[in-house]
Amino acid sequence: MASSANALRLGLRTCSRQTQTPSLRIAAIQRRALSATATRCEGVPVPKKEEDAKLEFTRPYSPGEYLSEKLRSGDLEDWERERYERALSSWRQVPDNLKRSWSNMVNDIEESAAPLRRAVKPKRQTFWYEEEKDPDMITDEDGEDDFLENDITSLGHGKLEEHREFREYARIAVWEMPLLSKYAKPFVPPTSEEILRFRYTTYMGEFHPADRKVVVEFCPKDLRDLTEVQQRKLMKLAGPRYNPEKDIIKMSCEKFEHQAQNKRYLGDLIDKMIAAAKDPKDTFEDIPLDTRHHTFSKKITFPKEWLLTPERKKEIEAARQQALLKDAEKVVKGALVDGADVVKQYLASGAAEAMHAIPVMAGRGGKALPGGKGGKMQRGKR
Amino acid sequence: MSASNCLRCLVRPSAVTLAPRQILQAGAGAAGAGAAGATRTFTATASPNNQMSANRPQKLRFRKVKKKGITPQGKPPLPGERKAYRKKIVLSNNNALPVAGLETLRPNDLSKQKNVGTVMALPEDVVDALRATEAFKPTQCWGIFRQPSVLVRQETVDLIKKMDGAAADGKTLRLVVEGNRISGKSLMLLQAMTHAFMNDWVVLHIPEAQELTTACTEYSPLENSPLWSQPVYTLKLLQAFKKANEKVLSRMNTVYSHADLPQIIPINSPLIQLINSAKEADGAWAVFQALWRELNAENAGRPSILFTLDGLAHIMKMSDYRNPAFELIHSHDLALVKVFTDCLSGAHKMPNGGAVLAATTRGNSPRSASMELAIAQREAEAAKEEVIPQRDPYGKKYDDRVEAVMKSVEVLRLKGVSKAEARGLLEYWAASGALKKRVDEELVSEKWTLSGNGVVGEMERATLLTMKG
Amino acid sequence: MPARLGLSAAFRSLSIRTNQLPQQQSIAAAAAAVVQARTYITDSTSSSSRTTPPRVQVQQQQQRTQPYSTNPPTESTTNNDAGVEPPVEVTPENAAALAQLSEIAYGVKTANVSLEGHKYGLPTLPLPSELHHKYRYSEVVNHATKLLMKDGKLSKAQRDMAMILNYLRSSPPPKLNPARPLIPGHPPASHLPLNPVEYLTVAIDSVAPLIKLHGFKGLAGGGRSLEVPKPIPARQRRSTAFKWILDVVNKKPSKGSGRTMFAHRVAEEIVAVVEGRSSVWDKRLLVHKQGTANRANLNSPALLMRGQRK
Repeated sequence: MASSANALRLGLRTCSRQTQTPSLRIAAIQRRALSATATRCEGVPVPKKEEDAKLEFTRPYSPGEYLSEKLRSGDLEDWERERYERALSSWRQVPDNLKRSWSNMVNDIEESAAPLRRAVKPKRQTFWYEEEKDPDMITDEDGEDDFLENDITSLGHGKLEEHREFREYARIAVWEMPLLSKYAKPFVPPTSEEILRFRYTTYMGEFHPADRKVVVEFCPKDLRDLTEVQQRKLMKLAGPRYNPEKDIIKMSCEKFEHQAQNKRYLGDLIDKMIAAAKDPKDTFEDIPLDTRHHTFSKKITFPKEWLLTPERKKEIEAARQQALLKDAEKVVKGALVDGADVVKQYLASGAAEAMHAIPVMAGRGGKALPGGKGGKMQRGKR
Repeated sequence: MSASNCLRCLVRPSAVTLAPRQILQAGAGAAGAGAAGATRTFTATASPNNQMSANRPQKLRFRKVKKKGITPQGKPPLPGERKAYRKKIVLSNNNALPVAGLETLRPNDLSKQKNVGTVMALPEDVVDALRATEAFKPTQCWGIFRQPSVLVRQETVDLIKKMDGAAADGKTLRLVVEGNRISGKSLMLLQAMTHAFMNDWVVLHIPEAQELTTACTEYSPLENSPLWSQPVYTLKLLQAFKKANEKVLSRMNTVYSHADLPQIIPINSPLIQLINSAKEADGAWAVFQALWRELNAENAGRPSILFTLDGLAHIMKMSDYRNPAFELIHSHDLALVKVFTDCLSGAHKMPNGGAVLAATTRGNSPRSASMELAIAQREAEAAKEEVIPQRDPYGKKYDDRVEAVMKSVEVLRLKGVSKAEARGLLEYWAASGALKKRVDEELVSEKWTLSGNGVVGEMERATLLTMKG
Repeated sequence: MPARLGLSAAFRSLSIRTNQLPQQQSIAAAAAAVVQARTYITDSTSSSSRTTPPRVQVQQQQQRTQPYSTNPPTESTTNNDAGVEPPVEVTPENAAALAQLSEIAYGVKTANVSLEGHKYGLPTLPLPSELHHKYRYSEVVNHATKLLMKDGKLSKAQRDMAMILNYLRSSPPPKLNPARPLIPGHPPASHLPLNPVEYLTVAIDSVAPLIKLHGFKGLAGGGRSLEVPKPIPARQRRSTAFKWILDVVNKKPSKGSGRTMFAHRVAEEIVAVVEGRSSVWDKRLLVHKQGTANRANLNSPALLMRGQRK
């Protein structure tokens, strides 16, 4: 485990050093079911083919040509013109063999660099660009992988990076997190006026389809201005949103785009429900509360009778004493039945042999079939 | 040789085996002219039998060969014989020890408080009568003991006292025996029947209510009535009734004339003769009606009636029968069931007093929401509780007819037996040689606790149906 | 490690790396706690087992353990000073126990182990085997039940065995066949139904073969195996016998239906064994005859050679 996987992990860590590019959010593009044109983002200009940069130089300039051309152009300041002229005169004083060798050198450089500047067109016909070279990844320099003993290994770099990260978080924990305490607010329990309890969801700034959802819970009994009849009507109006076990109505909304809209909607809805509950036209008293949507959990409690109170202990002790007395009494009377003894005595008395010595009509036990010859008791049921 | 052999390999294995050997060999000789020499040398060296086995493609099997089943020896059981074996009831075991001091029940014993916690033997004639009414069940452990005996429980005494009280006042006790699995509901009915038989009551018992409603017996519509009769079952019931109550019936004569029966029964002829007139299933329902009328005759010195039924939930639902419109028939539209439900609801009053008892069952019983609710309501009413359970307002499984029937019944809920009763039972088991242990309070307490605070059936399981021997 | 595993493991470790620091801290804390707990334990044992009064002993013990403890000595002394004394709860029971202990320690009275210190007293030894949940049933019954079991359904097999025993209990006493003598010392036939376990034991032990034939492959020459009789231990004898009985049972057609069907067939076969009617007896006889016939093979040179080679 420690060998290859750990190495890979640390290697990956060094690779992941670059700053994260902000992810480009691509607006949803409406797609046709079938389309012959490539999709593209809105606002991105289509590159035109003619605009391919003219990368190739036609001919290398010599310094003399360049300077005289500049002087000929004429839109120069005085001090510039003076400098150019000085430079041109010094160039003319240079011996010819030197000028020639310079132009040769420039030509050589241009020639050797020309293939590099030329744009390489991918060969469409090859199989997976097989013939193409990959000079970035594959190099065949000798000894390029040799470790020169002047640095720690990449594994070590990974480990160091790990430590740096630990320390960064440790610094945050020690120096920055305590500062958060000044934002702390004391908990204030909701007053009797604040009966609605909202729940929001946040994904810490990330976009999520569920972050617009708002849930509200409230207990119908907290609505003091409703009469009991009206409260019951409210429960019935809530339908399956009413939890009879906790006596709570729980509703949620996520149909609008923003949290605030959803919350507003819920608030309005509750107002409407209360108004409907107050409406005396139909009090719903004839309709029983429907709780089919809810499965009541069975609460198992420890029976109170089982608690070992001192009185109970005394009672049990007394019962034990009674039992012992009862047994002792039976022993004295000779009425205590011992199954093993009874069988032993019966067998010793020879009663078993006597019982079966006389011919018995019945096919005893499970032997007799219905309708067969059998005694009265042993006859089978038809 | 090789060519012919290889060709033969391609032939279907069945063809090879079926073809006579000579033909095959001749064919090989004639067809393979080029390889004739080789073939000849082969046949010269190897015997023809060997050649056959060598050439046959043995491993080519296209279908799994079925395992040979066990061929049954002897004649197969006749229709119904296996069921008879399964339902066979053995009531005694001559190997078991006779229990010293075991008393046989006398007519008033079951109503005496002092007998609570003792085991008492059933008298022989009562055993016969109970057997005729099918009050014994095959799952009960009668076959371990010398003699069928029952434990007198506190609930037994209470029930019997109620029965006696109702009969003395000429009223009817209408009661449902309810309880958990194997808590002794059927045995409570059996004890009630025992008491009735010993006290010369007339006992009518429906041993399995499911036989009436699961569409396993014939049914036919009754004329001028929305009800349906079950002739075959009625005939069976009549015969069992006659066999069980012969002693009481032989003393009774008819007080009405019955002209519409298959056989004309004049006034003052023996009641047995009336029952005997039901020879065929066709007239059985008419005879049953006549008998029921006779039994309920006022001022004719008729005995009290005990009408019992086991498996109440089965008659508290829609039956599995269908009417010509292919709709399910309600169980209460079956004539025989209706007789019972009328008695249970109090719509039919028994002029000579008696009792209508029904036991619920927990094994293989359908859920009947109304029945369960009615039982819970009656219990709450009896306990004078403030909150009486009500219907679930949105429940759809309630049945008004069922609730009407069970509007005013009493409920007897059976729970575990007390420790004293458990001790009596265990001592009986030990004295019979089925429990080879010293029965002291420790053992009683152990078994009583093991069996869910004295549920009798569980106690039986923990003691008699073990591998302890 | 294969490369593809390594990759997933690498990502996993990348994702959990931030947890490492707190874990190390907690391990250190736990180690400290263990060291502290160790000092508690030494304290408490010393205070209860030594005869000198507890307080003084604690101090001595503490000083003695210090050089051996893993902590630096300064730390352990601070621990002591900071009051890491084991918290002694002085309940009436504890006080009574301590008083009792000190009485015993000063020789005021002797300790009676069987009476004192137990809420319900000590059990009398040896315990009956049925009190152990693994040995609560008779050995033979347990063994036969396991052989009855199919598909690992032990409780079904136990129910079947209970029904077998109840059948034996209620069947008439067997009529013994003098031609098929049962195991010597068996109880009389009329006693068997009252002891169904004994009934089953007698049946199984009576038909159990004494030997089995061990076939040594190719030792008899010509590729034939050399059959050599071999005595078998009691458990294997019973296994063989009961498997024979079950073989016969499985071939029998069943008379009834329902849950008692199988159990009653087995029970009927057991009765048949005791009465000498069962074909299991023939099997036993056959094995014994073959063993007798092949007993000369015990001294077969091939077998002896084989033994030498080993």
